[in-house]
Amino acid sequence: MRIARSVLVLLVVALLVPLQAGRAAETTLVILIPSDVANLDPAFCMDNVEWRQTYVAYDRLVQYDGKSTKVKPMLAESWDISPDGKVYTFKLRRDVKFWDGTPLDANAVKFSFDRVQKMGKGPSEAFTVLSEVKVIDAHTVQMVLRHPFAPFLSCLATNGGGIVNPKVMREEKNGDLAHEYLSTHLMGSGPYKLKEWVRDQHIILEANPDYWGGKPKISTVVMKIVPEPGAQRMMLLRGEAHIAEGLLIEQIQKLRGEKGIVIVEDPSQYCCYVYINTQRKPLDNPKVRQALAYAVDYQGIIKSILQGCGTQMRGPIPAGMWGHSESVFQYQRDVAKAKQLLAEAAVKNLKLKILYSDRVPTWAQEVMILQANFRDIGVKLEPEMYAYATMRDKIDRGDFDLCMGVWMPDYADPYMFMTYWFDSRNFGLAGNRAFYSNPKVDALIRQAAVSSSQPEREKLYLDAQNIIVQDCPYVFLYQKNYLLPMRSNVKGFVYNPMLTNIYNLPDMWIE
Amino acid sequence: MNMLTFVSRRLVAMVPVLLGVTILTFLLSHVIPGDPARLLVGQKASDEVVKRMREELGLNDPLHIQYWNYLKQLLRGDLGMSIRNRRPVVQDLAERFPASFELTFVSLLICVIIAIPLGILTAVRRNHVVDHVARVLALLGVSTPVFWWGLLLLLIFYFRLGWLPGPGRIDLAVPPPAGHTGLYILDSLLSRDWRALGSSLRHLVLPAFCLCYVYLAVMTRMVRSSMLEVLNLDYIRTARANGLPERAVIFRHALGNALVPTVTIVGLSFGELIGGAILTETIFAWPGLGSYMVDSVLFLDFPAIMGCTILVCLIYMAANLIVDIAYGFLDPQVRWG
Repeated sequence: MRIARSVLVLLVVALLVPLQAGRAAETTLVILIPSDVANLDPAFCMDNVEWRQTYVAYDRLVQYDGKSTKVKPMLAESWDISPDGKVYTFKLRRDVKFWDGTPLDANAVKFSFDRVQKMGKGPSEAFTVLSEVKVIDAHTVQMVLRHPFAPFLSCLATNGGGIVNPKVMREEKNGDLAHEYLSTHLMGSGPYKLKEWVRDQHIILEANPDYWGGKPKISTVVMKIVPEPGAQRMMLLRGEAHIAEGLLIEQIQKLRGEKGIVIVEDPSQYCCYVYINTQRKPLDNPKVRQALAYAVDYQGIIKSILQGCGTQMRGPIPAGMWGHSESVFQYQRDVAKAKQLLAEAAVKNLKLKILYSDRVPTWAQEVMILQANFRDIGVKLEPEMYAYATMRDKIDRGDFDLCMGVWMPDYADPYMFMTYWFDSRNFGLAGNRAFYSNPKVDALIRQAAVSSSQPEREKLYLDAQNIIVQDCPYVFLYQKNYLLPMRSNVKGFVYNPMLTNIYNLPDMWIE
Repeated sequence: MNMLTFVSRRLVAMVPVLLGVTILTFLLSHVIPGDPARLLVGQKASDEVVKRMREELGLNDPLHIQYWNYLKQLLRGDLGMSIRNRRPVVQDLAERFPASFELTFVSLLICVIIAIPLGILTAVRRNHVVDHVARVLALLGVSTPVFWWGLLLLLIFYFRLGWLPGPGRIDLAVPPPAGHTGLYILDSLLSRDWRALGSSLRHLVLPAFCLCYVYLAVMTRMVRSSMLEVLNLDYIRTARANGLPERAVIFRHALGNALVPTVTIVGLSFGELIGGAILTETIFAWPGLGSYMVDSVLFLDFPAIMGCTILVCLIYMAANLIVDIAYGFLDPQVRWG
């Protein structure tokens, strides 16, 4: 009894005595994230939330330049491209070392790309064109492509292009190329190392004081997992966190004008669109598809769901990506025109189903608006909500009439939209989710993919876009703005549309 | 039958139940349309990459072969690799289970400590002010959604008053206590890490109260009604007629019998809360089993779904067994067997 009483007293005292811990030092940046990450292997992970950690841990040959989608040197000081566009020769910096002191040389570059290709997981998709990586000397590396591939330099700036310390092979198990080890560890040369990862609680990165680009000003970065947006908002307002990633648009709008809070807002490449199954009757008729595109109240969706933080898409290539053209036709709500097109197609009392899931919170609201819009032209829309995995399965099999979709490019090239969305070789989840096939479009985009002249590619993509908007395999809804609320004492953050959820931590500081 | 025989028989009977649960869960999770290989390699991956991944995960084998392989693995105590996290499911569960256990245990402890005296009081003082107030509070408890309570508690005690910490299991500035159990309170007590003890206790207060409130309402009403029922029985009248003081009548003679249904509720609640406290876990960023289970289902992470189901099933069975044993102690009329 006496022991029980002592324990009770101890517990109460421990509870009541305020902690002396105080706040973490101001060189610690706390970022609230809505969920944990699954994997940290750069040859495996495919999600921006995972790249948030890997991007600052591994250096790449090239990197995106500030806000621009153009690349600039990183590990590669300079490069040459052969006249046939198939051989890239990179000269590497000589002062780069991995965290354990091993010099980062051409062998490490070859090892990293060979590893990505041998593993053959998601990130290898960007390097299928890569035939061979040759070590010319310790600081010169050559990459040979199977055919000219214009977006290749952009591919090198992605997460899969991160250079891994070859010594990681000491951790290899059963020929897994150290995948198990790298799933939970980082082993690079970048400005930040992994200090601690407590599953479902937090990830802590610490600065690499010997970084070749200079010691980062922020010594520790904590990614704290807080799934509930309301709780994130409270923590941000109380100053216990610097950045909150998981807030809803309504909450962010209400934070505007709050003392000590700034909202970063920039156009992003996050596109929301509706797939129309072009293989199903009567959706195989372009007039029916155009009628649907004319029925949609684009501005209404942007105003009510995005609270104005977005713009209507004009064709498939979003604004901010080269290849986007203001001359491409843009559908606007025109009920009379939509009805006329349906009459021309001799379609009456049309009933369609629309597939979506709760993966994207705004889909349910968008479906409701589409339902009302389509009702105005005499089309009955029936919502079909499934778990995300099931929804994807149905998309892959083409088992839908209409389906909600979002897309973000992995690298800064219109190829990410034009080839993925419209090439008839990519039916289903691979990207062409409208099951759209037009030989003219196929020819144009395939030619653009191998051409190394940007003006020529722009022309080819423009021609293709003009055909596509008339064929209307998708309803292009909007391009969402990137919104990030943060404390006003966080300085130096630059949003790059290719790097959503990824921070330029070495350039940031806390005032 | 003595208790040992009773327990052994019950343990043997658990095997077919567990087997049935594995078959059912395996079938249900595998017949849902969806391809975890696709989810894993990302939406832009080619068919070739997806095919390789399916082979690697063994998803191309017929279902009965997949189940047989799983069962063989299970008998070796291996729950397989999580498709999503690419690490052993056992390791995932071992990290999340202590958090869930700690939260559930403390919530139910608070619940029992408050509900039993309150239930007795409302039964003895039937239709008095205390009874009315407790009834209103109970009604509020069962009719208010947990997520609303959770946010309200955070808003008042963390955001406005600043008395208690925000979401999480321990302060960022405080390293988790050293120890092997993963139960922060126990580990910090054992390692005499008072800073970690204080921080983890303070972090536990709000989620534990939030989680216990619904059960507190149910349990208080349950104790009250069983007490009222027992207090009207003949043996209580006899006890009173023999001149026993009221306190002895209630605590020595009535309470034991009245607690039988309450113990049942506690046992079942334990099983339910271990894997089912998803909303509380989400609001308070508590790294427990519930959110892990939901994420596994959404990702069709078969090994993780199976592992969680087996674990929760085992906990249910263990809780029921303990409840059955407790009956024998509480009610002399109950015999094990």
